[in-house]
Amino acid sequence: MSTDGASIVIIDDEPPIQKLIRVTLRAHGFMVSEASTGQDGIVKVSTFRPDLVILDLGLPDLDGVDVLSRIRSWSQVPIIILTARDQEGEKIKALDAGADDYVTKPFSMGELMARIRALLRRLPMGSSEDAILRCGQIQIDLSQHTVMRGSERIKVTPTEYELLKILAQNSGRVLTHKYLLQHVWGGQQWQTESQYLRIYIGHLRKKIEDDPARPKYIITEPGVGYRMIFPD
Amino acid sequence: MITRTDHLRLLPYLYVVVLVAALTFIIHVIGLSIERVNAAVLYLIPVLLTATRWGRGPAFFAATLGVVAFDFFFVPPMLSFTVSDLRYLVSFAVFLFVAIITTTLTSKLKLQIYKMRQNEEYTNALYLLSRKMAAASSLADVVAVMHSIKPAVIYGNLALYVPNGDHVLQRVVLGDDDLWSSFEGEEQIVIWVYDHQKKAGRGSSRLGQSSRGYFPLCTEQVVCGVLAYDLFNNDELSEEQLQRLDTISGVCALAVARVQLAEQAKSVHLAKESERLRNILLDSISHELKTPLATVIGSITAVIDGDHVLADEDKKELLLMIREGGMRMNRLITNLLNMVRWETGMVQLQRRWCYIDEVIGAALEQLKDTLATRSVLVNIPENMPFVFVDDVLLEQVIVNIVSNAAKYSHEGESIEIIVMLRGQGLQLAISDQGFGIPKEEQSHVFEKFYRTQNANHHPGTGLGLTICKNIVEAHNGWIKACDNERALHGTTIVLWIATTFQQDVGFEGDALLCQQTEPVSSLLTMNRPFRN
Repeated sequence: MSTDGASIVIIDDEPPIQKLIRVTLRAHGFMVSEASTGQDGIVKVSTFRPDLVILDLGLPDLDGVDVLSRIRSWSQVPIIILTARDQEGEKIKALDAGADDYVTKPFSMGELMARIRALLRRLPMGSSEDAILRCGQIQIDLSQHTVMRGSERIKVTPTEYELLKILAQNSGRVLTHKYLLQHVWGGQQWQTESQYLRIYIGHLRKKIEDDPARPKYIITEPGVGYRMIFPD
Repeated sequence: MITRTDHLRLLPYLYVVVLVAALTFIIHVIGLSIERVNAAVLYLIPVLLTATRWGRGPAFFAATLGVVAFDFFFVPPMLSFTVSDLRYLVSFAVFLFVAIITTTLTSKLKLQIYKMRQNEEYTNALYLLSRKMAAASSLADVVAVMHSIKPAVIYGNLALYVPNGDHVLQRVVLGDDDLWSSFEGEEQIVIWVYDHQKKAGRGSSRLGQSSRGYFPLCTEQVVCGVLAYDLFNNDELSEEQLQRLDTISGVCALAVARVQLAEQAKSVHLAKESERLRNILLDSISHELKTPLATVIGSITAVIDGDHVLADEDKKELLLMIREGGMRMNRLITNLLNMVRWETGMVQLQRRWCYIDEVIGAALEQLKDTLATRSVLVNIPENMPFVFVDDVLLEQVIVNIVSNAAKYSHEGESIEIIVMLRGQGLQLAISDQGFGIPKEEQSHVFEKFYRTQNANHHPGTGLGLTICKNIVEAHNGWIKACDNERALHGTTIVLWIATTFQQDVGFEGDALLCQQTEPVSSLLTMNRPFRN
């Protein structure tokens, strides 16, 4: 899908950051509108129905996570959050509340652009009618519960299959440990179980990656979770 | 050999002799000698007097002497010890018996009174001790109180050992009145007592032969120190004395424990406070430094990565943002460094004769980008004399205040600077029509890292006004924030710095120093709008 002409709402109270993103995104052919408070941001998102939202977590009026949950209550628009390094806890809360990705300040514009493109390219949830998820060389057949790597069939356990399916269905998105554990294991005590997750991710990497030490498909987001990407 | 104390002991006997002799003489003179029974009863007077004053021994002596004198002078045959009527022997026996009974009773009473006095003194001391201990707020106080009641409790010296911050037992020294001299090995004893929470030394089973004694200071939960005592005499300690020392050590223990807990609480509070300051500092610096840094890095990467799509004007805009970000970081770092310079006393005023117009002009010139959309009214009295100030620092004060005025007001709102001479100094009032500072926060805005609630979402470190205050105070002046009374809302920062004036600076230094005596209002004559 072409990303040209997509509309983006920036919610950030720092004029220089706002201006930086606006200038760059406009130059790359996006339509940009801005809000400097949470309230204003929610209004702009609901009126403009943008293709993507960039949300700073430190806003003057509302808690960033609040803004996010309010938008999520009626919209599945991809949301990228901007955080400072000292907002680690906030970041995970925001991802759990439904943010799709995050960028930590100071960020390079190239990185932000890549994240924006990845999210815009991602197929909307549930829109895929065919029962096969394709992610680079990996193919997941949802009806047969099989995984193919190129032409070779890979044996996976039911748990590994579930994990891979969720990652692939949300490719491009950062999925937190909590999210994965709840959706794969249905576990409530996710803090104590995050060790399982590491083990299963390790198994999956051994099966689908060329070099499990330098993964191409399943990327670790340290302290946050995992993300599946399409290798270009 | 008769020593001095023997002399003192013998003295009452001498008094008894004198008393009996005097009594005999009086009886003889007033002629009571005829009534012998009366005379015999009168001889009981010295016995009673002696018993109440000097105790049992002299009283017995007085009784015996009385009998002898009575016999000698009044029992026939007179002036002889022989007794003609043997019934007198019965009288003598009765007299002696009565004398002994009275003596015993009196001296017992006397002892009781003495003991009661002592008890009273001790009770008073104890009462005083607990009352003063309750008010003691430091270990030194505790020791001072202990020493003040010491005479009522023991004939000797007291010392207090308490663990210091490194958990090493240390004696609390009271000023120069430190009469305690430690001996080698005392520390070990004190540590033993502290660790085992048992008494040692004199009056206890362990090291009982020592001249000093050591009590652990125990409260219900903890042992908090050791009380040591040193007696000036070598008498055996009575049960009662030990009991008293025990009581005192109990009161001391409570006081020491209380002082220690108070100190702990204080240090926890201090640690919390410094933690809070550190957090504010970190927050403020990380936010203040990171936002411009994010802009700079973002802009640079945008230019690098998007070179092919960015139009020239976009690139220029990004470059301007890089410049602005860099300048913002520079301001922060300058402020921080200035703060450090002030705190370490590295700044010294360099007063010079200068025109205040020029100082303000230079400050506004520095801020011309920030003030691009505003009008700045500068009000300076005509014939403004030269002032003797550190112009560089004063310029910084004006820059900080005016940039705050711009930051906390809306674009387009004007800023006013009023200069006037007041007393032996120069007053500046800088007003904006912005959001204002809540009254309860106005006195705090000069504190380090303080940000008002309104300011929280504006960039800033809470250092600018602190630096202003430092500079103004270095000029022997003052600075305050108040509501802008000339507008509906906004803030006025008023500052006054002490300076001398000079109407004109001559070439040979022949200028006249002038004292400003004109009323202040008449100086507000000139209104020069200063527009950038």
